[in-house]
Amino acid sequence: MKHLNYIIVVSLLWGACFAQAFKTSQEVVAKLRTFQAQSFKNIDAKAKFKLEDDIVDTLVDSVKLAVKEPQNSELRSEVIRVSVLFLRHDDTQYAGELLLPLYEKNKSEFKNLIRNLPAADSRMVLEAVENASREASQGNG
Amino acid sequence: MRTLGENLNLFKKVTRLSMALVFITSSALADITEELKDLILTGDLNGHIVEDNKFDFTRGSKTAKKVVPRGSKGQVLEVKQLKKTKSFAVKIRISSVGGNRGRTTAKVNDEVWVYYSTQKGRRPWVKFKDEIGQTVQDPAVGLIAHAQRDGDALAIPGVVAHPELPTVEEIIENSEPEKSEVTVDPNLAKNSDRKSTEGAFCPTCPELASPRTLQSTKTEALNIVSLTNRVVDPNNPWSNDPEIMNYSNSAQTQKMIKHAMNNKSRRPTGYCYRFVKRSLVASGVVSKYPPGGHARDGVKDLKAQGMKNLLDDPKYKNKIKSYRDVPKGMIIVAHNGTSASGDIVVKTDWGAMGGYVSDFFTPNPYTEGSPKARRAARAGKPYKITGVMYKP
Repeated sequence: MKHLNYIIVVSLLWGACFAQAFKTSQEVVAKLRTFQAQSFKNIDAKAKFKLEDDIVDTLVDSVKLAVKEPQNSELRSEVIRVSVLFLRHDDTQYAGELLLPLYEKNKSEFKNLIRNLPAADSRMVLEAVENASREASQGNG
Repeated sequence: MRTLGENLNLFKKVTRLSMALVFITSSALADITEELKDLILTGDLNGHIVEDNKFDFTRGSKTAKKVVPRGSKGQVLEVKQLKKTKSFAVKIRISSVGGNRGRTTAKVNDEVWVYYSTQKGRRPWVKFKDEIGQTVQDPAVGLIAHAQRDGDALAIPGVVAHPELPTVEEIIENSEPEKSEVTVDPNLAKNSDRKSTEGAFCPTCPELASPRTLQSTKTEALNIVSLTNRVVDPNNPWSNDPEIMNYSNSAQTQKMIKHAMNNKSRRPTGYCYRFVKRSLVASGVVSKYPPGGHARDGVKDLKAQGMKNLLDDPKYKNKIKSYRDVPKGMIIVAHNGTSASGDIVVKTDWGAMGGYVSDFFTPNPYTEGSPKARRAARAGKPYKITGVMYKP
């Protein structure tokens, strides 16, 4: 009986871990919507780094989901919006690398996705993603 | 019957012998250049049959005879670098046809030319394997070597027989012109101080020093090293190290920093190592363009050009804990031990005053300012400084 209890507890914990790890698209979209242009205003360097880290973690999850759910246009447009926001404030243009799985999956679809953005933003996203793609395959030398 | 001591001696001998063998083998392997042997297509490519020695890889080219599908494998026979695009034409013998065979007429043992693009933003859709079956990380070096070897065999118009890495002259020619110092014509300069008259105003004169006191004279005397006439900054921990100070204050280093700042782009391009290499070559710190394709190779490449890694010296290793501790003008290489390319930058000034320049400028150290580096640290693979390179 003691062993059975032990097994049940371990299985429940295991299940809880997976439930925590796999976020639904609604949760991810809701999280993405919390990132706004105002989020970057009047914050010190430390808070900016924290915000950037939060955006990075959310973008990683959301890009994974967006690759799995190609029909989820709401998620995709939020991913692009937050990426543009991040690119505007990040010197290193890391969002390009984060968007890479989405770009590699279907390039023409990705270009359609950024078509509705203002020209400068669209160019910025495409440039960042293409640079990241080239760096991944050929290096930075 | 052997005693325990004899057995131990034999064991020691065998261990030493095997260690020596491992060392010799690893040293020999380290010197193997990235030789291209086999090729794998990661996308559908046109197979060109080149006649009359004319290469045409443009869209709708008549030399494109068959599609070589994704997943096909081949053996590299010949390589040419194309003059105009600096990309490569690679002749292969197809060893296996991948993808949907119904869509192609390509057969095993067909010999065709495929295009290997090195242009920015274009993927070559080709991977190379070396003689031991490992993927070649920087095929451009191997392709150039191959093309140099094949160049003499066939002189084809429009093809570089001996392609080479960029020369000093080419780099200087393609660099931005040096920005001249902003000078003010004394006759046009305006006096912004309303309390003083024009006669007391001189735009080019240094500020009038405050009257000297005994204390200020003593401080000045302390700040001057009499023999070398070198000013010692009490806040600079490197002040008493002539080797470091000579490098950091040398004209070549200043020129390198200036070149890097003049030629950086507004946003990152993903070519940090390339920009640093160009500045090193243009300023004369190194004489040849280093060949590596990844910033993580910076330590090895630059050592081959006569530069030294400050971290090799235990005296300095303890002194450098972060990017901010690195002296002015040194090349900082950082990597986290993964397959990532790593980062390389030039430090522009002393201590926290200095920024970091490669393909773009940032005032923040990579390990702190880069979201990528912070993410790697959170994942347990932090970026660490692997090299602080300088020319002794």
